[in-house]
Amino acid sequence: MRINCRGLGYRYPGVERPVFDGLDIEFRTEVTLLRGYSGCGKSTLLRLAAGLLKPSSGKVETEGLLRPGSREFFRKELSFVFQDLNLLPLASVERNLRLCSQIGGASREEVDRWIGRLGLDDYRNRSVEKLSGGQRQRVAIARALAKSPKVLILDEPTSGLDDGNTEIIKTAVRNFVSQGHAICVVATHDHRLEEIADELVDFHTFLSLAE
Amino acid sequence: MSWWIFIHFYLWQNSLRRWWEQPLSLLSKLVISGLLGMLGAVVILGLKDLGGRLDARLRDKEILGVVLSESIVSPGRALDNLPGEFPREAWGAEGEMLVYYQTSVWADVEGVGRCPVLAVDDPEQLGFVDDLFLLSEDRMTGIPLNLTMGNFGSEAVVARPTEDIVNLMGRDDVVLGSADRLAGALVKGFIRTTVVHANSIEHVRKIHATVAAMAKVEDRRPRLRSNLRILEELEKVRDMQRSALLFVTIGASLVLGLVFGSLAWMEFREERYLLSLIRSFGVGRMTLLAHALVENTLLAVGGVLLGFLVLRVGASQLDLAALQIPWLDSSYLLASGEGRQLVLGAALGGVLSCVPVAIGLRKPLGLILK
Repeated sequence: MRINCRGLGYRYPGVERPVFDGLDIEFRTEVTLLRGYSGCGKSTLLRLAAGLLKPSSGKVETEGLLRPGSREFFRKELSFVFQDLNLLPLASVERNLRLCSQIGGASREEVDRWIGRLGLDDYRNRSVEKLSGGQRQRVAIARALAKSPKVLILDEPTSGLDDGNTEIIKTAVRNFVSQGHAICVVATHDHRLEEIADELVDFHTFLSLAE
Repeated sequence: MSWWIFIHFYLWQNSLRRWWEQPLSLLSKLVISGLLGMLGAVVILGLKDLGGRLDARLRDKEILGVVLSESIVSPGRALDNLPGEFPREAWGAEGEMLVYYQTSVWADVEGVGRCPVLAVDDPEQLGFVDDLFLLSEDRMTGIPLNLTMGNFGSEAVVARPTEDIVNLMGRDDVVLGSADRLAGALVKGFIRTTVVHANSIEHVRKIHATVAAMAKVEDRRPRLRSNLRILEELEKVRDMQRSALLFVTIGASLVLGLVFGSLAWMEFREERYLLSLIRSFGVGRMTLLAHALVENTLLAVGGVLLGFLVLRVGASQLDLAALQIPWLDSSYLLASGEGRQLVLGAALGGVLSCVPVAIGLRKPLGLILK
């Protein structure tokens, strides 16, 4: 499985200057960590790779995956953890996980397993609005992993989290990817996540070289 | 499939939360659709009343009457030699037709004096037997009176004239008999008058067209009297009434569509992150749009029905007859086609209001989700 970005460029609507142009990068079944300063285009690249945005130029090719951007791809193969809201308000932890996993076709057991692994057993029936930031992010990671995605994309997953929560998330992601069935791309400022990376891409430098 | 139920359950839970947290949005939707429903109902009831009165007027036999008169001068002895009658088929298969012959002969009736003589093809059509009658509005009926017409002498029994005959002759005391019995009186000429009680304006129009065509072809100059012009005016008013009803329905739909659409767009802007997140899980746009559609349609239809209900309850508290607005009785509104048409218009408004949502849902997820 791989995601191949070829000659990729993107320009936001109403903005003259592209975020990047002519970018070539490939993601494989390992953890790729994208580092770089804010606004350099890491999140944009993640969205393009996931099919949440359509590239202005170039293309995203896949091998062993459904077409990025298609409903089936979102449903069965992609889990994307965003920087902001990732959970359905009003719903409990368990319902958040169960709903998203059911859409992806995951089993109840898988949901229970990830609730346990992310240390969420005590909150399973609590509304996600009543959780702390760290707990919410753990729920978001559990939701992402419970459907056993082929592509796991995390955008600043540990931003603002304490070491304890970061450690739980690192362990969970590493365990999941070590099974060798998923492409994992993480965009982060957080150096604590470098330990789980198979490949480290300094995105700003990467873009400079590409130009 | 179960996720689909869960998603809809969640979306409804979210809608209820929104209604709870922003009751003004819900109330404004219900009040606007309710007011439109009430206003529409009042217009519908008024128009329906007007339409009912127009229809009654148009069904009135008097107004649908057609009278065709033609002078036949010296036809000779045989009625068979008369210029052809306008054939019954030409009048249309329906309707009631009577043919009268106003002779140029006068009869002297005992104790009455000189009376005009009128012949008909079939007296039974008027409810008379084949005999001679003196039609009078105030003389005692059933009394036989002696009469003479030239050399011919007979008796005529007093009877009441029909409305047609009074209108036709314009006077009281007329001698009536069958054309066969009065063949001698017809020899010197007569005015043949055909009275048709048409069933509809179309029928009257057809009669006019047929008579005009036949008169032209056969070079005859019949005189045709009818209320066709008035009927056509009434028909125009009825058409206007139908158009007004359609206008009210379409107008209500558009207003609801615009108002609900504006509110739906504001709500969508508030919730687009959440909706985009749900879409990123693999839920299709149509599922989300269907929810918005059902929600807005339910509110639009619910509001209009509420408006009907308020009007009905309000009207039941008033003495409509005393206020001279008996037509405001809305008890049958829901069962009527017009009421259902307005409800359908409201539903259409609800559907229209989802257009901005449908456009908003087309925005790429990556531009919304951060």
